[in-house]
Amino acid sequence: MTAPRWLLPLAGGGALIVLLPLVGLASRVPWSDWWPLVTSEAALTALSLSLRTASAATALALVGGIPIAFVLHELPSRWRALARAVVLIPLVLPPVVGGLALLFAFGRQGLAGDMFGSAVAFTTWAVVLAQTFVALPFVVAAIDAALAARSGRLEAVAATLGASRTRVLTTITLPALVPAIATGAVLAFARALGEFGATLTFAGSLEGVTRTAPLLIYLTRETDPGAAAALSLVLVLVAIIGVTVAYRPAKAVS
Amino acid sequence: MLDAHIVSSSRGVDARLRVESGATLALLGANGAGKSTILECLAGIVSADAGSARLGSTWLHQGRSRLAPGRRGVAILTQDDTLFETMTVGDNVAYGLRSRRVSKPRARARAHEWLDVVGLSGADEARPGTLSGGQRRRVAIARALASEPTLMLLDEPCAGLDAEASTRIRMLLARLLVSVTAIVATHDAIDAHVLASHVAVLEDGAVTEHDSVDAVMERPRTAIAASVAGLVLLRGTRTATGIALDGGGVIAAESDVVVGAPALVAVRPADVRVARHNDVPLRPSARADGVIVERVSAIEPRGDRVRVHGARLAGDVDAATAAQLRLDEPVAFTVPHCRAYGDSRDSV
Repeated sequence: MTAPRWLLPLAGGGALIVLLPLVGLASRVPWSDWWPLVTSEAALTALSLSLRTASAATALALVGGIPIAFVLHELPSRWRALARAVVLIPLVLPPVVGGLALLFAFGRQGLAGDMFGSAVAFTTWAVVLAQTFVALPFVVAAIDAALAARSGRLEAVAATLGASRTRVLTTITLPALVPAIATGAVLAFARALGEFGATLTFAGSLEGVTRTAPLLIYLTRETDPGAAAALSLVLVLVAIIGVTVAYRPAKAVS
Repeated sequence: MLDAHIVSSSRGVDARLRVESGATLALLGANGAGKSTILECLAGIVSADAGSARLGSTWLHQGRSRLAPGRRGVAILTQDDTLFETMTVGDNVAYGLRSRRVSKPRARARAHEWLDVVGLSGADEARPGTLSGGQRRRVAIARALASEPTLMLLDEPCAGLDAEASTRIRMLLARLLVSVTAIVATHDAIDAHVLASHVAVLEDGAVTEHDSVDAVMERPRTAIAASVAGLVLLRGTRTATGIALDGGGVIAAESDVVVGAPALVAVRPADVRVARHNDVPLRPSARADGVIVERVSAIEPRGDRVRVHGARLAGDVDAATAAQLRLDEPVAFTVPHCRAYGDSRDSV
């Protein structure tokens, strides 16, 4: 280890802030009833809805986020900072505000209400939309960082060999971005899975339609704290597995 | 044939180049002289601000209008080995052909042949990451040539490798570039001798010499060309008795230069005698005796000999003599009888 030793106690303190709540959560899980609790009909419905919506949101975030990162990269530098800030807003926005904004845009009385209102509001699509809204910046940020670390030399050489822009993109740039795309996708999925505020505000809490796992946890936390803890643990496990498998911090690449 | 005038004001380049079909031009210059910029402008990787470049009947650029890199028929071997790490070696070499919609089996067969040519038989399925520096360079060479370029650009193709690998790459290129129109950017005289028929010397973004390799290496007209050729360049004026050097001293030299005209003399430091000034009897300086007295500005060990540098001259001595010399001490350089030549620059 090359870092000075006095960092160690600070690191320990920081880790406690993360670990203690997790230990607290685990301490409240009724272990003997854990399996029945997480396989109850309500829990399974919510978990399944969460997995489906988070997957859809991740796919949408990739389809929209990857091109956004490329366009950001091509902008003149003075516009890039501003455009990046706008795209990354959902990262720093309180989710409730995000949900409200979605409601004003896509709700029945929203800006685009005539087009989407009846089709989207308070449906599963609203959940997906809310999750995409909060997850998209993770994809953009991961790919934006990876693109900034590339020199563009390989792309230039590929172009001199006669490759079209599309061929350069699909054969050179995208394959090199796979780790960054995976990282962005995992973070987006984890964020979508945990989405609560924007979903509640924009999509409501209808069982089987918009009541995702976090909403169910919130709903049952007072009536049945054990069940809430059991379900929470499932989300924690999914997050840990996903991040361990696919999250690779950006490193210097050519 | 390439006829180019490259202007990039942001990189301080304004250079004219000419390469005959099938010939190789060595672009000789120090780091930062603009060699890479010129190659990248010709390849279309960076944009020239002005000027024009014509390759055969194709305009690469003309003022601000430019041909897309992929339609130029110009391949570039960049200084850093820009191999496509996510592909196999074979797919790297086949990339140019595949980009022009040659079928996969045909492109792979051609790539296989090219790998044979560059001495990497059977490396088709290897990953670039598993190769040595010399092998990577070979793949890059095969990839560039497999795209069947009209003009091949090589940026320091033998640099950054160990001595043996470097020599082998040079020998490989000497064989492959025989009938290819090419420009080799280098700061090494060996590259120019082995690979090129002509040399363009680049200084601060401008071409200061453009002639055959022999002419530039034997009768350099710029300090940088002389230094690359391992010569010391002296400037002076032809007199009745010899060459009166700028800064004083007269040396004997044959030449066609008319009396009174500027003349150049290129001297091999190994041929220059160096003696401590006290050991040399003073003679009248107007005689063309080739004795030039200068203070020692640097003492440079070069293996078994030691090179003593003065303000204009340099000469080689043995270690024992060098041990007696001190910086700033006056020494007498004796220049042998040599041949002077004119300073005309009508060769471009």
